[in-house]
Amino acid sequence: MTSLEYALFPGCVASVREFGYELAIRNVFKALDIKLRKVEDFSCCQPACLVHSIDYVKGLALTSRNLAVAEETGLPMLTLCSSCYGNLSRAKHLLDHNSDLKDEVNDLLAKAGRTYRGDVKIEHVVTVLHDESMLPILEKKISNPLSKLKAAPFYGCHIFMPAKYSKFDDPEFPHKLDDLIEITGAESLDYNEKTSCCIGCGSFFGEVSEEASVLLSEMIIGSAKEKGADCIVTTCPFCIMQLEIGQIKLREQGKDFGVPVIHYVDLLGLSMGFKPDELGFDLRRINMEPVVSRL
Amino acid sequence: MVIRLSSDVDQRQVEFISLMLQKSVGGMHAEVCDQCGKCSSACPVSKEIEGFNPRQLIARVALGKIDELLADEAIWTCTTCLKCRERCPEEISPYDVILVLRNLAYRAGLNYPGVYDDFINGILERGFISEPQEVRARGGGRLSREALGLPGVNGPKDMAVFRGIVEKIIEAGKGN
Repeated sequence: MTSLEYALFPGCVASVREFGYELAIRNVFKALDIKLRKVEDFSCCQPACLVHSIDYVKGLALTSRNLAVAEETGLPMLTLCSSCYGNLSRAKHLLDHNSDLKDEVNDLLAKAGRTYRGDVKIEHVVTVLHDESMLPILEKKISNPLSKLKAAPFYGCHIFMPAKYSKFDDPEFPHKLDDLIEITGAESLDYNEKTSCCIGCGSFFGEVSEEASVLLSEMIIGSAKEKGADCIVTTCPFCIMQLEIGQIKLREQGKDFGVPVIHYVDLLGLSMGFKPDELGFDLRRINMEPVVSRL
Repeated sequence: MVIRLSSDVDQRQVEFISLMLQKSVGGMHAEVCDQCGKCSSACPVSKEIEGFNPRQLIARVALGKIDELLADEAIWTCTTCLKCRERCPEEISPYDVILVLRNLAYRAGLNYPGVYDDFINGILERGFISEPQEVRARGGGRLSREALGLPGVNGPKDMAVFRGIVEKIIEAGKGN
């Protein structure tokens, strides 16, 4: 059953750079009569590719601090980011299944006056909207079916990896994002790279070369375009940033794909009759014409 | 073929790796890897970077070549997508092994990617990787969160208390 109110956890990328998605989620959820509470005390989710990589327990403590903050609100947490969802779910799973680790993390959290108890619920936009109580509501709210649009779903890796922790969907043959795309009237395409990793963590934080990162973007975007995609629809602002920047680099090499990359909340918003500027389309790096011309 | 951990490995490193692995994956099934290669075939980095190969990396751990691995840039090339962990039939998880090797390299005072310090310093300053930026708009000019009617980004209320959780994390990696 969907909650009527969530503690919104926008995450770093959507807070500091890709805030078009925060605008979209606020507008769309308001229209769905679901309240989003702004919580002052959240920080970066702390992905496994950053502090965890050099100090595993301190990294977990930073992630878990956000869980503890959410627990204090008594509300389930809602994120719009595949990585935040994966990192928060992973930390919760590890602490809930290892009391020594939980004690160690709580000792660190005590320095910040917090305790992780373990009763917070973590949700992503897709898990909330795919709930059976929400599906009929969505159908009623869709006033502008996107029947001319072909969308390539791109799930993002952290949302369901490993399946043991997140239980989001089948990691090899997922369907939730596809189902939600079809609800808007758009066609959800099958293509090779649907469950690939955008490689954002490796190229932003790690030692993946720009050349390798751009080649991977080309493989993902090329595979979607080959199937006739008008746009790629994701669950993650970080994937969007990576696939947009990848396309800009490819254009500099003379390969202009011009495939807009949008978040699912954008797609849903369009089908509910929101205008592109109410969904932050003005902030996108790729020309949105292939989407806007099919509304 | 079954590879077992070599007895030449520094025992303290083995204990640390085992402890970390227990914390991360609830204990490895066994110190065995059949070298089936499902991890490498799943790996997006292996597709594009020659020489990055999770299967070989596990073989090198099993052969006890820990010192050599800790100094190898390859451990910082993993993009942490978790596909290797998902597909490993033995639940060995190159992903978790790589995180442990990174932790070991950091403790040994070896190099880690320079951007880590930038991002971690950002988090220590304000809780997020950077200040909210003004973003170039398609229609010209720049847009801020305020211009879109979005509330400010506050981060943790008491930054000094927040920093207490990860006190001296950067200095610790430099062997200070």
